[in-house]
Amino acid sequence: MKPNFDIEMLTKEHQQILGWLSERGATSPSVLLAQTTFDPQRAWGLVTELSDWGVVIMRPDPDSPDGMLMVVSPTFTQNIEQASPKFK
Amino acid sequence: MTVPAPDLRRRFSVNASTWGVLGVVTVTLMVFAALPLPQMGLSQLVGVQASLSAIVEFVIPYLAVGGLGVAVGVAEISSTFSDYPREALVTRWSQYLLWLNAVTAMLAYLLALIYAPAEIEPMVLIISVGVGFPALIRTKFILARNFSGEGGGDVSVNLGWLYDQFTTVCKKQIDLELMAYRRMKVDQLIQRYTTVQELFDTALYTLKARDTLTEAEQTAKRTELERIISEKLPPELTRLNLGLYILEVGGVAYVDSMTQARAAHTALAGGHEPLTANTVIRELRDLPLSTLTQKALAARPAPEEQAKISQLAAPVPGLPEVTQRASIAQYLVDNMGVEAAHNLLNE
Repeated sequence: MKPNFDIEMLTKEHQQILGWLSERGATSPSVLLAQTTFDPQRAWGLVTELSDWGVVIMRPDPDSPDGMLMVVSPTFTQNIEQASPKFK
Repeated sequence: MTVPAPDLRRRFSVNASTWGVLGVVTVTLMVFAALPLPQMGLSQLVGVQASLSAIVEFVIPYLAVGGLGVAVGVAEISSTFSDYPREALVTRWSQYLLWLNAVTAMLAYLLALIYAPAEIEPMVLIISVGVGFPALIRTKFILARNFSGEGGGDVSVNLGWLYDQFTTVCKKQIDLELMAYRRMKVDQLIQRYTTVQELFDTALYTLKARDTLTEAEQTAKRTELERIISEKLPPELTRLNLGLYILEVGGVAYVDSMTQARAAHTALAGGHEPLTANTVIRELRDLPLSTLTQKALAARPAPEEQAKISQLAAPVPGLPEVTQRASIAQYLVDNMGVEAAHNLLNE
């Protein structure tokens, strides 16, 4: 996670995206856009923000249909589980 | 391609029939040694029985002393290579080290037999040599200590110097052999789990499934996993790193079971590639965005689905077009099924 990130910066929408990603595991942005009810522009904006904060890691992946893979940062998951068991 | 390396788990493995034969021979010899031969009218075999008893009496102390030496060697190797103790113990240089421990302990026992007072109890001698000799060859005696406390000016006799040199060589060689073995296991794993996505999910699951890790170890392992997935390395290297991570966290038996399960699954599928969602998504994704959108809108007439497809097709700043096409393809496969979505390609 980036040093400028604080957990208080997470809105309800960020949490919804993170919850979906945590259940899904590693996935591509196209799956997120297709399978969630978020408006694609809004969803992409949220994911980009989370990626900028280091909460979501995005990397190139030639095996993914859109060439990208995203995962929730494993250290963020651990921090959030320790801070608040309800996120488990 | 898998890096060829000896399968250390199978080295020295003895099958059940061999154990059976060994067991029968041992029991037969023990029964023979215990039989009251003169009373059974087999006096001609008494000489053989006496010879057998004498051999056993002669050999057993050496075996006991050698066994204690080997036990110390086993403890050293398994604690040095605590992640792969079983594999480390069967490497070639481990065997050399164990034999060295056994043979030197037996030689020490022979010398002790020659020079020890005759009245000393044999069992006391066995334990003294079996435990004392390994300790002695690992000991450094300080005859005079430098008062500065830094240790540099101490006058000492290091009885274990030669043994230290040999263990250093052994440690390096065992490490090299284990490295080749680990690479072989990782190659087997990534041949079956071919994508970064599968390997990352498996790595995360493996880490969560490990109950015995302390909180500090969990943190260290999660940080390591994050580093592996964050590094913008080529996918082949990331796959190798994830494979090694799974091997280190899950162990050899876990990796073997995963590899075998996936191999069995592939064999059940008959070797031919079925039509998968991923294949169809890729084929649909390769269509131009306008064509794909038209096909999708025609195939899904419900108003809410039309709205979703239009949303996915609308340009989003910063979002690559390939992601838009892949998302529409994904939506079609999710909502129509693989076969029906595949048929859209021919319409």
